[in-house]
Amino acid sequence: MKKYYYSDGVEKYGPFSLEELKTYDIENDTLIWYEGMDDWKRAGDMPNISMLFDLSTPPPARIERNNPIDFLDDEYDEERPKPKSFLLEAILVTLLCIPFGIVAIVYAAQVESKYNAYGYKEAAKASENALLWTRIALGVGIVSILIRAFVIMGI
Amino acid sequence: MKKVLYGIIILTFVIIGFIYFLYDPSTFSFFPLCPLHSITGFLCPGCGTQQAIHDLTHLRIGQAFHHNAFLVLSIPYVILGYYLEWKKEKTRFEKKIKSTLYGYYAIVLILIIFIVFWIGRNMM
Repeated sequence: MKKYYYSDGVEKYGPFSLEELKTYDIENDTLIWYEGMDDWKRAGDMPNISMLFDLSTPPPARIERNNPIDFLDDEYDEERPKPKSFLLEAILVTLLCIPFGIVAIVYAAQVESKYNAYGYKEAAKASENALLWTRIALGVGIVSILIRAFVIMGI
Repeated sequence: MKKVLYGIIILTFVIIGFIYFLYDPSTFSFFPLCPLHSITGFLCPGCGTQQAIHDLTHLRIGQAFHHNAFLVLSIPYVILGYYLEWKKEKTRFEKKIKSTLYGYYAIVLILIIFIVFWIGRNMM
């Protein structure tokens, strides 16, 4: 743990941990020293310290985006893992309800192809659709089996 | 919560499996019939699934294959797929299998096999 000292130019105060330092009134002209530094420095000239006490005005933002969340999404696109394709679930529900199960399998294929071609976002959309159609196929399949069972039993 | 859900799913499979073990769908009439087959007379890719399950519960794999080959082949495929999904730290070989057997081209191939199987079983 680094030990920090501060000075008003006359007296030296310290040592403090960074947490303790925060509780004192550090200004732009307050001198700061910690182990490893050659000489005392003005707090305003030390980015890590001035940031802590909010002394400096931040530099103007260079990148202006309307939606910061979109920006983050794009930025981390390639690092995000491939979304679930729901292929196995789609195959299972195809046994219950063929037409909608096939739709789900087609979307599962799209998850694979779109992730490689366009990245996470497009693949995630296909993944949502795969899940949606898997659920539809499951629901329709169960209802149709129940209807057929009731018809057979003559209810 | 998730464990409860998995428990319910597995229990459902076991109960359904047991019903199909006890009763042969071709001799008992309370099993649901395929609507496509009863209306048009065509076989759909799912036809024979119930008899195939009945055969499988009696370990008659050949007969199950005869009733619905697609179902019989899909069982080990789905089990292997779930195993690979469940396993967190995969060896390189397992990763390779996953990306080959469950990737884009594999899925397209499944769809093609599915349609060929559909047409084929109505031709024979």
